[in-house]
Amino acid sequence: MNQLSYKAQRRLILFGFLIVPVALCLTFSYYPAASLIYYSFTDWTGTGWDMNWVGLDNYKQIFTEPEVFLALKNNAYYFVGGLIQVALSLWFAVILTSRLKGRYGFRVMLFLPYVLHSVATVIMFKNVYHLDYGSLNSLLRTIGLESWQQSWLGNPHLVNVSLAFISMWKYMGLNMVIFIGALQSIPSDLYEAGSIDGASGWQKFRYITVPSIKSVLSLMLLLTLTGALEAFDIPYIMMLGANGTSTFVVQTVDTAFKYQSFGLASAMAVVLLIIVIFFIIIQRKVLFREER
Amino acid sequence: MKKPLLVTMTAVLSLSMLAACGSNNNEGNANTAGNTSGSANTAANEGGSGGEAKLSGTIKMLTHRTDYINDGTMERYLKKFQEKYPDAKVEFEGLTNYATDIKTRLTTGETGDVLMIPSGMPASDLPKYFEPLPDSMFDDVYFADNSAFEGKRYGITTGVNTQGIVYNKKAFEKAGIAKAPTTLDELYDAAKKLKEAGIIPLYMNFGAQWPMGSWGDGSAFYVAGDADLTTKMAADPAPFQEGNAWGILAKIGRDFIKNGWVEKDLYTNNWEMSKGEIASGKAAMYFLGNWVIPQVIGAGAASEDIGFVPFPYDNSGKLNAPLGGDYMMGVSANSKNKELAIAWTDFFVKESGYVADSGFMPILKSEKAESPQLAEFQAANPTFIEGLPNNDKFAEIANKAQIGIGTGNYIQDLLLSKDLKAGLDELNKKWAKAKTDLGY
Repeated sequence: MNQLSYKAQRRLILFGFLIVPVALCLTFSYYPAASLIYYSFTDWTGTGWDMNWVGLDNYKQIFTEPEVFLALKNNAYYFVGGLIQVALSLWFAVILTSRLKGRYGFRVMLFLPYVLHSVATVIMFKNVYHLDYGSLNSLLRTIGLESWQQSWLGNPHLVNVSLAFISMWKYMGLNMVIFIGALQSIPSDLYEAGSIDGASGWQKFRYITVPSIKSVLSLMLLLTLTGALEAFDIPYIMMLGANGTSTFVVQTVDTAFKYQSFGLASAMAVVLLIIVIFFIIIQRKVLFREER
Repeated sequence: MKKPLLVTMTAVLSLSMLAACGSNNNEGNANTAGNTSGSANTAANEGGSGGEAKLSGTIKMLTHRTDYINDGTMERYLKKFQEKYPDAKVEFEGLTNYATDIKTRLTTGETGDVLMIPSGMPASDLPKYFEPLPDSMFDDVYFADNSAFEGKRYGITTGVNTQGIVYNKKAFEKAGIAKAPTTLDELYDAAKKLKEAGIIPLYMNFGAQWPMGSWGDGSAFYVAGDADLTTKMAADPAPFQEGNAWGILAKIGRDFIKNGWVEKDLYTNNWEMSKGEIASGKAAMYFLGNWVIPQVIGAGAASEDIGFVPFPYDNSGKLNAPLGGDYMMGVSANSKNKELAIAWTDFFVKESGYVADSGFMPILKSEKAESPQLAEFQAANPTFIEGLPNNDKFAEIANKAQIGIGTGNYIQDLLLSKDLKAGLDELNKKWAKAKTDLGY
């Protein structure tokens, strides 16, 4: 070992440590991604290795058949839900960074839904939304609001709202924790100075809090957007995409596994990938513009 | 770059968790331990085959029946096999999500020696993955040619299914219905009386999605009285018509929903719960295959309370019923011990008792079904129509049109569309477009 120069030793150690994560990353991230792109140019059915190169046919089909993009309409529900979720989480974050009694307990309570696995969450909400035995309808019955009882999953006008609510309920805690982190990094003397100058609570929020967490806020909004585009687990586990709840990813999965068209499904996944990358680029441009 | 991949992976993972309750159309989500009593030894037909006791070695079998591995039923079959071939060993591997996982296994070659042939595999692919079975195995066996290609047979059926109304006799009694319906009018009448008695007339399992196949592709061929319906459909630009089998079935399904003769909450998947409701008589009928009967009994019903009759889709009194094969079983082309694998396959489908334990009808044409429900079904004397595998072009058109044959998703939409005609026209439009796109 001693004969090696310092530089060589350094290289050896660097490579030694890096090789494992890089190999894992290449095997489980980049190789599948490259295959995905390759499959998107073929007519692979998912069984065996027989496939024909079809060029851009799959992409042509995606962009010429409006049905494929109609599913994005359902993603919009999750985006709107996400906006409400960001607003709510900010509200809770502000309340729970103040000197409220039992604030740690509340933080844990609001964060817990995020820790639950989606499958568990959905099974739980099945019991909430069930028409006969569901706790929501039982509650409405008990407090005398029978007329408000709904078929939460059967009514085509309500079902996407019901589902988007689950997603909101689940992810709000995470947003809140991130906001709390950002809020705690604001120096308290700013608020003290504001109080001395006679600023009201709203003014402090508007002119001190918001500008200080602006970058986190815009990051949150973009994450909401990409999250909404990728909405999958909740509509799929709850409804299998039935009753007009199929999102873009649900449709991709159906295309692959129900209609045995892995080629087309890969192309759909690539299109989604491009859309998401597009938004990430925008996010970088917006977020880091000021820092330069 | 990583995030969408993560999503795709999550997608695949969640799918594999879910599809266990989705894709096993023919044998249901057979998680009912404890319905495997008694009848195992009745199918025994041994003796006379003494001279073959030289086969030895170890083979591996892949199966969808994880329940039979866990409760020791498979082990019991193996013991019986070893009475014949003491040096033979069989290992079992259960795949919870067989229908999709097996495709990956075939692609990568990890198929074991004996496995169930995935339904929907094009016949031309069979020689790539499977070993031809000797013709002597197929004497008197149903569906001998369903997994055949160019004169060679690659799979043997593991059970024969039919389909009809599974009903709870106690519930019928309570609603004052004297006998099981044999015509459509009687079926509607029974449903009306059941509803008045506060019983769910028919548990459709709309929310589970896959049981909806009964109202479409699972039944159309026998209602039409044409085993080869899919070949005709592949040549027809508008196969979904109000007057034909598709319209007849959809109309009955729609009537049941419209009149509130099905479960109230359509969109929640209550599959496991529904078995208990049928068993206890809270719900009266299922429109499914005979494979569900052992599961209903496993959910707490007494066998003598459960009846099974053909589905009365019209008033003629002369009904058709389907005969369909469950999974076909085959020997992998990669197997190192093909002789033993073939012997095990033959034993498994004919002598092990698996067929009767699973509630299937015997695979030999000359044998009579033993269960009281299947006897009742046969006593109604329906004309049995033997199902054929789907025409390859039919399957291609359906996939291209995104009509999920076997999944039930398009039937959900059809039964809830504003009117029947509009729903059928929608399907015809997709069908015609896919057909022209493919050039068929």
